[in-house]
Amino acid sequence: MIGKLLPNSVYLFLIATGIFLNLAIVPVKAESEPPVLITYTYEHELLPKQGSTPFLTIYSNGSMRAVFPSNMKLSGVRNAQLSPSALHDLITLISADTMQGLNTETIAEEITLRQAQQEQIGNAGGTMHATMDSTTTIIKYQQVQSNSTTNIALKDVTSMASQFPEIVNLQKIKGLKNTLQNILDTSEWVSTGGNL
Amino acid sequence: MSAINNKFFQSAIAISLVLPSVVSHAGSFVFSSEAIPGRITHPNGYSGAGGALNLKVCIRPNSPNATNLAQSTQNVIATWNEQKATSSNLLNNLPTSNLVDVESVLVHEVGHCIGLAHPNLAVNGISGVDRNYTLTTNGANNTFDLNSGPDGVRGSTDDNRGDDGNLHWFRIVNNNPFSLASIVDASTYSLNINDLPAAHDSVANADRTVSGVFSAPNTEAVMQQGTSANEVQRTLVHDDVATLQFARSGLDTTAGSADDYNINLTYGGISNAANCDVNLGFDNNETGFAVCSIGGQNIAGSHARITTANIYLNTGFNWHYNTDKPCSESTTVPANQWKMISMPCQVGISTPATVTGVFGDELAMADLGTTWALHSYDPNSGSYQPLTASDELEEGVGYWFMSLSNVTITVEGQYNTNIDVPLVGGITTGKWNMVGSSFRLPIPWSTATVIKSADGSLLDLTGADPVVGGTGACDQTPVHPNCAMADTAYIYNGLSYDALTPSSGNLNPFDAVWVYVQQPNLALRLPMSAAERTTQ
Repeated sequence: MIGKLLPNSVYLFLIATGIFLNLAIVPVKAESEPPVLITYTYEHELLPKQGSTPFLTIYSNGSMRAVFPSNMKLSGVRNAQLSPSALHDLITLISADTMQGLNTETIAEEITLRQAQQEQIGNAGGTMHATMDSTTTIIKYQQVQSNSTTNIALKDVTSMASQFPEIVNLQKIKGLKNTLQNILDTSEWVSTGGNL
Repeated sequence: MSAINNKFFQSAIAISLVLPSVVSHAGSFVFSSEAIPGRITHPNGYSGAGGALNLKVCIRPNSPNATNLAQSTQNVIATWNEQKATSSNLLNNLPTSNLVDVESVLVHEVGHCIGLAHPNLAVNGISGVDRNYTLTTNGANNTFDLNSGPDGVRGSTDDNRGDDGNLHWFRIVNNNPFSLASIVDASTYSLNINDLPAAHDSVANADRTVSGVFSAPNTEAVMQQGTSANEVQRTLVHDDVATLQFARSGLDTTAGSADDYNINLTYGGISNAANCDVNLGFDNNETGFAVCSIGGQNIAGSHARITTANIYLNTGFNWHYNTDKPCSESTTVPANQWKMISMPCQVGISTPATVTGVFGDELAMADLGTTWALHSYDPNSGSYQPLTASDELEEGVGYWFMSLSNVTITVEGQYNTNIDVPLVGGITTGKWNMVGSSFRLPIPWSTATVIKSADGSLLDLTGADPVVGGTGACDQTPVHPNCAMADTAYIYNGLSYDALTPSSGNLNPFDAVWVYVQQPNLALRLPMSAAERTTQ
């Protein structure tokens, strides 16, 4: 098994040659889980903070685990396997130079600044926007090249990205979030029988 | 989750959430803010001209589960159009646990889409139970001052909120969000904490915990944040109705003036027509659960209106889709026997409230007045009024029914919550009123509560009919002025009247009774039983 994160080029090579796929079907013992590539979850204002939203973990070999809360259709702990191409795309996405060290604080400040401007425009008769019942996106991923960790925690990513298309890094976060949400929504999840 | 990955997860959560923080976009009305705390937001289409304001609510054709949303969407439309204030609106009666009631979520989101915001402290940096405090700005010190006061209840009248700036309109006379003034405008509601009642330190909001303080347990404004699995919250609370009615008082915030408007939501079906004012559907990229995304513009002074409104839901949840007739109750009335009846289900939301709608399946409307009869009672004139096929029936009101043949009546609709039934009284003479149960299970008459509409104060039966000089105030001749409503009600058994007293007797489903009312401006609340709350 891959003991630690490998350079991105190695992942791409493994996927391209099919080796990675073969590795992925080897049973994985809990104590030898591959390194985590990325995690995705969110909080929502209408829901209790703990245990009410899904939590997705994608490992470096493309294996995935999701914990769905009891009020979701897929309630329970479930496993799935990301296809080699999807894993490749995901690694490519988070390995891009521009995705390294994304600073959520800076993005939030940019949003705040623009919202203040927007409010002034609104007070003067222009268009105002409001997003009621927010979702806070929480993503953490490993930069395979630098072996650094990036943390993202940002509110109302989709609606903010719509309102402020000029904030490039916000668009990137939206793209990553949508990718992960799509993985969560469309993967063939198999129950582990595990309880929440 | 392995220890390693658990640690990874924890470290991800442990980072401080970085969130936009300047523009609150919050208040009792959306678009109120620290700069303009008193901004009132009106629904799409309002420009200052009074009259009917028609808004179309549509389901996006490309949405997953679009057809499943149809019934609940129509129910929510009827609920907001009806603007009926209820209490005990938190039920736990879904078919199985771990369901999330889509109608409860939609009534909240549609409220946003017509201009209402959260009454609670739904702002960045505040989480958990602290969100139960009443909505404010953070004041001059740029810090939310959170102190729940002697009662320890967040969002109640004794909170100490320091210099935080109030954003929640409150009823001046009592600061009670579980009561409703007969006229809602700037003469009866205020944002200025100097207008609070003398003993109050803070503006109360209609949170479920606060409801216990105001003797209206299991009640929460639908606009309050918070959704629990297996919980149903489909009917409005006084605070929801008051906020919308306040907006309806128009630009001059004076009820009864030319710029007042009525809201008339209509169902536009599964459509993407350009004239849809509120569009709803599922889209997981837009929300992790539910959201209302709004655009708006200022129209005059501190008044804004919605210009775009979109509701999104997330497909991943175990949504419960309500049906048109979850409540269905039947009773058999013997031939040739008058019976005092009431509606044990809520009609007028998903089923018609008309006489035809309620009785049309069992009885021929052409025979109304010949082979069967239905009468209401007018306490003011003391006379009976024969109903026609198009007359609408109301929950909590009693009617006289009789048929020449045996008939089984089935009433279908939604589950009721507590409603305050207006009573007609008269200082000099007193009035008889016909009131009825609106529930499927028995209610002990001893739990009946009288509400003084003027200030929202509550009286139990002993308080409504106090003993004065050894005799009940309502039993004296002449009736003692302290008599509000007699503590004994009377129900017809087919031959004579049975008494329901504070110590014995239940109101069963379909039952209606006579009550004697002496004082004006009262309402009767018959609290639902605990079993009613959880029975499917």
